[in-house]
Amino acid sequence: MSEEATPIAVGAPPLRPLALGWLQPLGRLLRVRLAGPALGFILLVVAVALLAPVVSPYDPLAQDADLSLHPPSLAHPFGTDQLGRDVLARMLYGARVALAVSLGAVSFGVALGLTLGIVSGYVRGVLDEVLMRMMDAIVAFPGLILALALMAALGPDLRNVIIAIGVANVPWVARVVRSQTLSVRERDYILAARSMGAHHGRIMLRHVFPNVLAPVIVQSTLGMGYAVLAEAGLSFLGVGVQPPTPTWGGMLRFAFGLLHQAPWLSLVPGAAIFLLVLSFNILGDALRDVLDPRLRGSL
Amino acid sequence: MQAYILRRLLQALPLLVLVTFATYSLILILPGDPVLALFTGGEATLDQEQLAAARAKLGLDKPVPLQYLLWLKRALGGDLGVSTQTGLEVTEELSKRLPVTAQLGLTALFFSLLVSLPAGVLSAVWRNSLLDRVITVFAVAGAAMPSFWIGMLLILLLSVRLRLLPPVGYESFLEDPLRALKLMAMPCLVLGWQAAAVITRQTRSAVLEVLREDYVRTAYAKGLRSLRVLGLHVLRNALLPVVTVVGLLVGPLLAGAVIVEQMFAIPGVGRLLVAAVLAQDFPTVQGVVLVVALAVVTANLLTDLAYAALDPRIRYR
Repeated sequence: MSEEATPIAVGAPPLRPLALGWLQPLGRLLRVRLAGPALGFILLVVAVALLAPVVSPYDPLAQDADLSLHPPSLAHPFGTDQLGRDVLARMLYGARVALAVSLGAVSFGVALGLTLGIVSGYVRGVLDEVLMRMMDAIVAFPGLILALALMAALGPDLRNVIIAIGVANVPWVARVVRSQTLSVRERDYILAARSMGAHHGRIMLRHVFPNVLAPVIVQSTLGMGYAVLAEAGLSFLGVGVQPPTPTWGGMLRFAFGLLHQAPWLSLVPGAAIFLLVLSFNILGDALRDVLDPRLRGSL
Repeated sequence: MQAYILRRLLQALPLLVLVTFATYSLILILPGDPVLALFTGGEATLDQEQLAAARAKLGLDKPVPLQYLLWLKRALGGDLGVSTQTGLEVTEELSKRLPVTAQLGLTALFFSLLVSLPAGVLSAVWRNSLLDRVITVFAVAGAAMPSFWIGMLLILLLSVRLRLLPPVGYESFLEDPLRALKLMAMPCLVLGWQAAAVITRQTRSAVLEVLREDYVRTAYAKGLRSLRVLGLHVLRNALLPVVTVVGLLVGPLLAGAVIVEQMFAIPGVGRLLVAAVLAQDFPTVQGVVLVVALAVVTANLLTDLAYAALDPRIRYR
């Protein structure tokens, strides 16, 4: 059948991809080495965090002086801490904080970075220059030090931890989005939209925004790993989410003082942080391979 | 080259203004009266008259841009305020602790370069070999491991089990070099681990890129020995991007030093920052943040200049 035989009627609704179209990139993603196990581990942590009240064998805050520093056993697979609290239960609930902070911080960074990056790249000129120099200034502060300074000013609680870590994400997202926007704004479909009288706000929202998302997804996944590390770091230093709320970094903080008596306390939380960060990093690299084949194998 | 240096220095000026303003602005987001934060660590122990006098002295009764300029003038004169925790001048405290952090950071960087450069080169030259895979696993894992966990595992192994090294403490190299070396070994290993992971990956990818260049093929075609090609043609060009990465590592190393100094009881700038944050000692927080940001900006500037000196193409762009 020739191409002329299948005309598309003027005014007909645009062709929509099949509902299962998203399965194709997922299949490509899972074919990247280690991406499957990485995604599997992340999903496991998400499930554990969501189901913590159901699957947790004990109350993570319940103290029992008789059970202080019990090594791993059948009743307490990861042992108990100095206050007799079950380490497994605290690990399960700690996953909630790790994920809540990383998701919150990355969303904060993406929301601000995406907006600033699109505006900066689309408008260009003085505004672009000013915004990008501001991003350079934020990057001059190492992430953890910026987070510590903000925590000193804002005070330690979950919301402030999210903001403190999220701010460091903004410039990375903004820079990536800006450079993508600079290329997208020169495309023919933007010219077409402009010639049809579309407002700048509409062009940015309807035409630029969907076309700069791919690198943001990659950056966000890598940012999740960074946020998990940063949250654990703040908790380890004692300036993150405060006790008795269980956090993996906070558990390591107390395990550090008991390294001689109870070495098992330091193994599980550290391994969990490591595997979760590693999984986000592997998934981020895999997404980059799938979404931006030009960068494949660059690292 | 001089024109490039001048242009680059001029470009750094607005960044310095923004960085100093951002540091000053920390005080603007404080909940409550900033005077209390600057003088008492947030506690309301001053009466109204004292508050007004302190506010006038610091220029906090003036518009924000003027407040910033007054603060900058004092900071440039070496006055970063007085610690609300210890009552000591912040500048004095910083000058005592900066050499400690510099010693830690530079030693860690030196050892990580010693390991990561050969590892990156070998990994690239024998691409896809068992050695490449092992090195890559270490590099990828190194970037994901929390430094404080690495530190705990090392203390468990080297101090608790094998009793090879003292677990925590600090000694200046000038006082007792041997003990200093023993005490610094673990902190340097912890701090250098992530730097080594980054440099290894960067070196590997840079060497791989250069190995594909025509001039390398030509060198081989001329019958030069592999080592000569590697040393004379590949490394000289591949190390250029590595210089950039090393320059960019100043920030992460300073951030890493915060955790390492806290873990190993090293009296550096990082430990000072954590103590100041916990005690809401705002002048000290501002002082440390300012010094760290200036160090990062200076390192980036020096990296750019070094890169231009090593690669003439850069300065003509």
